[in-house]
Amino acid sequence: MKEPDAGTVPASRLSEAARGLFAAALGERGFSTGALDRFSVARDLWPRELLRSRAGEAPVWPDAVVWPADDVQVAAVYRIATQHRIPVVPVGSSSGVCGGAMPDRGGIVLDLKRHEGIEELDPVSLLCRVRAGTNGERLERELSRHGFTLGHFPSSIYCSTVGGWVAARSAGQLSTRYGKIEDMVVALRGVLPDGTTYATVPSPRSAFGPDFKHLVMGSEGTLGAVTAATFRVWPEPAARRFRAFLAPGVRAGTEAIRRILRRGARPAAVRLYDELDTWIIGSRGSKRDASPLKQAATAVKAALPGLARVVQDMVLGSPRMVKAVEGMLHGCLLILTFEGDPTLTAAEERVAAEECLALGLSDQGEEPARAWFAHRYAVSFKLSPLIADGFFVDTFEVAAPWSDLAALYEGVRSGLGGEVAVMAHFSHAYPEGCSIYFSLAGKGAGEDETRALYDRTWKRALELAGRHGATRSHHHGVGLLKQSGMAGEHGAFMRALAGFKAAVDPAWIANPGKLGLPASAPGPCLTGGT
Amino acid sequence: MSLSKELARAVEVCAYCPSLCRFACPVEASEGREAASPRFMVGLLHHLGTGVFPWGPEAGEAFGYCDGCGACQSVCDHGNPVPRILQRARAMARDRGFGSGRANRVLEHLAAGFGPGGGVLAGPLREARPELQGRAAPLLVWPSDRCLEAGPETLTATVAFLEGLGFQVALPRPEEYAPSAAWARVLGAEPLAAELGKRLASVAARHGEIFCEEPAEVAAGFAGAGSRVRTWWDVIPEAGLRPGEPATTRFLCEALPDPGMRRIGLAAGLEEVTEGGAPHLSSGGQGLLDLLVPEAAQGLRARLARRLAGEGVLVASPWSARWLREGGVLAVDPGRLVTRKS
Repeated sequence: MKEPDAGTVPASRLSEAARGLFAAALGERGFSTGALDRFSVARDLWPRELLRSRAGEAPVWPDAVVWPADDVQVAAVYRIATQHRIPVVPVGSSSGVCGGAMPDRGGIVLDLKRHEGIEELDPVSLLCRVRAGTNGERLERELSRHGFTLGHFPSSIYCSTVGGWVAARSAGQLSTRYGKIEDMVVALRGVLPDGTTYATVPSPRSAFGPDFKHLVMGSEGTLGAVTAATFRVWPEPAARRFRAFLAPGVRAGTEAIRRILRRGARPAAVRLYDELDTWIIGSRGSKRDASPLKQAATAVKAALPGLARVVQDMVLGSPRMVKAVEGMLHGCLLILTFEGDPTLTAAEERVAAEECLALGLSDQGEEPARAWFAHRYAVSFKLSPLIADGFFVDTFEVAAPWSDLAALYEGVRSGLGGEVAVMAHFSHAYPEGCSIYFSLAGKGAGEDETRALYDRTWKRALELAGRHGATRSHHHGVGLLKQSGMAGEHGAFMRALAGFKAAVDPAWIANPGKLGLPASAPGPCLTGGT
Repeated sequence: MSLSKELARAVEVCAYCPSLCRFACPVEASEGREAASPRFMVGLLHHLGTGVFPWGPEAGEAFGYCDGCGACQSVCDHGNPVPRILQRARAMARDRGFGSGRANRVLEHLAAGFGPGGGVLAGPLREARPELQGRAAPLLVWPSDRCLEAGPETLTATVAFLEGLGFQVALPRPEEYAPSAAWARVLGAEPLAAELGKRLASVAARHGEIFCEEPAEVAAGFAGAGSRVRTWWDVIPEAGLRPGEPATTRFLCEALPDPGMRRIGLAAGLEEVTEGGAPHLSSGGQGLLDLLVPEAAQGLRARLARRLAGEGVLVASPWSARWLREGGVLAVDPGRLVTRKS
């Protein structure tokens, strides 16, 4: 542990003039240059930053934090920031895992947590307008009180906000049934970086020109801040059904999912765990719990937590050991849940079962799926102890058509497996393809080596995904972590994006240096004369 | 003072957690401020340890955000004892001279009155402590309006005093107090008056049924927030009394000389109501209960005591404290702790 350094608080670089303007616009409670507030929002949940935090390294501090209470105050913040050329990073709960919500160039953190709550619920049209700072779990509980659900259940639901979901194009665990965030958003309200406000029309669909919502969704604060979203909501499901199968391998499991989707069934959750993930996470409640290997591991963990940690170090810290363990494992757990109308869910379960059994998957009954549902957010709790034990842990969520999926899975596993532990599950399934969610864990000889391993792993991972024709992010976004892949994936559209940004962000203050965009305004040829 | 191995591990696990308890924290909800989130408060201990954030007054203030309700711990898969960690953190801040300034001043006042460590008060509290071991709920300090009118320092100091004796303490946030104008004024919470009903809902969610011995307008505030509320006024019919008759109301007003009762009296058509004699420490329940049929009141007291004994400890008015203790509940009026000295 390092000796405390009394000089660790960097002074805010805001000019007196800017401070005065912010304070006047937001009031005493809405503006702070205090050390505690600035430090509290200096980092998001990018695992690389957690490694730096573990090593006792300081983050880049923002110069101030603002808490606007309404759209008028948000617009005022952007106008003042544009006038004084101060970077603005909008945040909700800073739960992003790619560094997108980090004020890595200082400036203002625009914290939207006080801009929260449901503004309007239309039970006839099944529409709900929600302010950006609303916490996901609180929103879902409030909707439930009225008999509705949004159907958006990301693993981060306890610690993420509506604005963050929109900004990073979030996807929830029941996305195959309810869709991703872009399928749920009917209208958006927000503020462009120059302080202009906008509100799109909440119509079910429109052919009245391009759909600008899709430019904002996924823009990660580089085009200003979303202040409210109108969502499609659903009546709370009248029925919920659970079913699990064990596939002999990943290929059989993914083929079963493909066939289920192809027949038109839409399970709420579709999750296929590979062999290692099945053993570590996905087998709760399954008949495999009775396997001698699992029983021995559970017994050791309960009786000798210290020894269990040593074993954990040996296994996760040694890719060769991981491969050895994998060699002892067989079977991939497929979790299926169905929810909605009782007649439809029963039919969907029948369709799914027919396809699984036809492919030789073994029926595991309801329990593994019920157990998953009951503990569906538990995985998020499992990561921090590993980080506390000196590991890096991260996740890489890619997506590709079914035709390319097996090669992508094998390619990433074999490409990374030599240095780090890799396991995966397949979720967020579509008729045309699927997402793969890789979990990565590794440990070097010390903090520096671990971080070098982390950087090396990610560089390689992004290359491998690109090589196999996958998108480099299915739902975590880009942030600082994946910027290098943006030009390769979007090509000429990056120039168009920069031009649009220059038009609405003349001072280039909206989360600069993120999303593969330059840190400062490009030349006049891109700005359209601004 | 430092952290035990167990708590130090919990701090590290919290520091790298995505803040999965955030949604449950009523303080985070009412403050809307990252620094008031449980994960940040606990993680700050990590950063203080690495020197990335320096010890200073701001660190001391940060740990004061937690009201000890334990909602975070109840939703944590690891069961990390956040209230206990932050209680320790507050003590560490005080040891370094960075406790809350207001609390320090009144602690000195308490020490002068009762001796170091609480003197005569410390004894009974320590004796009661074994009863509290293993309780899921911390002490719930729900002070009387007299206590509040003595100033917010009274509350702050009382909490610090009880924590110094090793208790976990829960305290409603200012925004969560009932919408009494006097309370809002005392707590500087007038701008939040419109939000009070919403805040009260979170209190009700944490503590279940609320028994309110305060004036009817206060009880109405709780009820408006969707809480289950019983008041002495509910008990009057059970006791065979007839509320609302001038004679009964006058008697109540005389027995309960506080502004709330005066307003009630005037609203009931009394031409003149005396606001009170000497300041008293009870929040008003004693005089009212004197009007009740003793058996009915006793039954109510016993039921309340049983419920509170199962769920936590109420620190209330001295008179309430008496019957709560009879039900096996530790109960002390925080107002009395200070006012006795003065």
